[in-house]
Amino acid sequence: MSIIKIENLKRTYGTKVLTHALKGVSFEVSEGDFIIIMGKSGSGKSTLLHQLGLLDTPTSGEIFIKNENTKDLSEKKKTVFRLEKLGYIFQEYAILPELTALENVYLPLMVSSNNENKDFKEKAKEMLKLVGLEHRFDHYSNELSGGEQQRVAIARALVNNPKVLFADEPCANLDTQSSKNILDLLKDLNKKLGQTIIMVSHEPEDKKYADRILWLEDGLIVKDEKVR
Amino acid sequence: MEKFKTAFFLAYKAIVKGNIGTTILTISVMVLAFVNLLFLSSILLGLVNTMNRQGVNNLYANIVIEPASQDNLISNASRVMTTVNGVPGVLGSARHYKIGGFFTFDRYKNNQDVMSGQYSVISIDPNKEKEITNISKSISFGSYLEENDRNKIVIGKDIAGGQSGSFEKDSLGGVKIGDEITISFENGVTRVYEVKGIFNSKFVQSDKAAFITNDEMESILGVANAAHEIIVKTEEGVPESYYMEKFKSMGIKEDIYPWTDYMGMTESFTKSFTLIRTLLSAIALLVAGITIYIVIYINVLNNKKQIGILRAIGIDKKIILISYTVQALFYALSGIIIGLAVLSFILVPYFQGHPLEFPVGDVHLEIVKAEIILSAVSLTIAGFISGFIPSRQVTNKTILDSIWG
Repeated sequence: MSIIKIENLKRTYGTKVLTHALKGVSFEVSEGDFIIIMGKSGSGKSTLLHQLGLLDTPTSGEIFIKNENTKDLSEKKKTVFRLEKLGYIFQEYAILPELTALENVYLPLMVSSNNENKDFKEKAKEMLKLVGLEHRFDHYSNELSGGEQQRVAIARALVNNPKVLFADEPCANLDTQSSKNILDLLKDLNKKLGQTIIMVSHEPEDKKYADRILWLEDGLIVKDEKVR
Repeated sequence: MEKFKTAFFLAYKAIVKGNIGTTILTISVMVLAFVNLLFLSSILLGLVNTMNRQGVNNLYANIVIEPASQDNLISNASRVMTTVNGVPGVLGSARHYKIGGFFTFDRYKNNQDVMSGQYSVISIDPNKEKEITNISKSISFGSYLEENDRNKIVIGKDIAGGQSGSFEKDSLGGVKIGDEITISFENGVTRVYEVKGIFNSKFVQSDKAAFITNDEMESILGVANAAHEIIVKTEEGVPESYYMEKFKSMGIKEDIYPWTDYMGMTESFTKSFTLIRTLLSAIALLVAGITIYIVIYINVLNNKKQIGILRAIGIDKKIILISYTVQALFYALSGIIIGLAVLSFILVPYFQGHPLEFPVGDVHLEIVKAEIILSAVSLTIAGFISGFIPSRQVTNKTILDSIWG
């Protein structure tokens, strides 16, 4: 069942000198997919992910998430959409330094209507346990390793049970072992929980984690490769 | 409600876990801004109030009764005084004669180096005067007049001179207790007086006057039971106009004025000082507002990436905006509270112990509640606006601009 549908997505930057980062991308994502978007630097991978994650507005084209055309969403509704239906993991460990690991994770729950029973601390603890950080609840970012910070970011992205989890080169700043651990964790989440994941990577060895690989070149999908 | 809770949570964490040095510096700037708002205006208010108090305590009491416009003197002064003293709330009255005199002081009695000057001579009933004015308490050399003194005079320090100061050149150059001075009164009478006391009220208008007894003055003027003015002291808290109306209704036909009518100098000072205070307060408030703006702007810019992340994970702009505004208000309110403590427990007591010396008297800091409330509200509003604007500027950027600049 299709969870995301993209039709002729274009993104152009600049006013005088135009940069066409996406030149008309179309594809569909099924629920439970683990898709990796691969390509060279400047091919448009991150730009594509930003459009899908509603962090940016496309120049033209349409994105449907769960049959809802995101073009029709107001700024406010996009915010709620990001909060309750999407999870986003950045390349840098984008956790808030003045909050503990636990607080970083339960922050989205504080304002989410998903959190009906209001027991957000318990849910956040569960998420941190899920990513193997049950011993780091009260630690601040400067007391965590890069890998641990990225795990906190993953726990935060998952805490609202998002329909899709976006990961923008989540292992770019990590050592080999930490990278493997993070990717194993993502694969585990995909397998066990059926979490739909769309990840950007330029590391060829990451291919083994994907069900499907979208090859991007110069703002266009040049190859849609089913791995499994 | 959840939005406010989250905004306060983020603000609390930012303050508690933020850079302690920056927090202390920011609050210190707010403290200085608040103290600056009140300090100078408190001095100016202290100056105006001192001038007013000195006028009331040394020269005019609360109400002055003068001869009706067609008369030179109040005749039957004792009747007028009995009438006004009978009004409930009147604490007492005293009659004065006032006349100009040309003073000469021949220190070595050799007609050389003779010092002279034109001064005002006020006559009093010494005992009654004690109840109304503070001249008797201001004697710094010698002693105060007694009822039966006839050839004795008490002079202000600015007439006596010899103590240096801004009015020295207009003085008699150093008169001492027991010295003799000759006074030629405006009506042609000339008499010699022994200086019995020198007083220092620290009020330039009274320190340039001399006092003799009413009996002595009546012998100079050739009148009895009259006065050039009767000053009336009343209870505090009741407006002078109330007593003035009472006096008129009780048949006082003389002209009646409140003390404020005699403080022309103070009135013009007050008007100018009010303008200065308003201008300085406006400037201080502007400086405080700009300071908060800069501090919050730098804070927001430093946290631009975090603001982008917050928005990326679905935190509403309003929450972020409220969070930074709350931080700005925290800095402003901390500044107000600590600033108030600095004023109340450090500056006011210090100036009580070490008053500023002005020609009108010792000036202390005088802070009125209304001024404190106005300054606190102004600084809070400045804090709110200055926190809100930069936060809004950054939250209005796109998420990617916030994260990557």
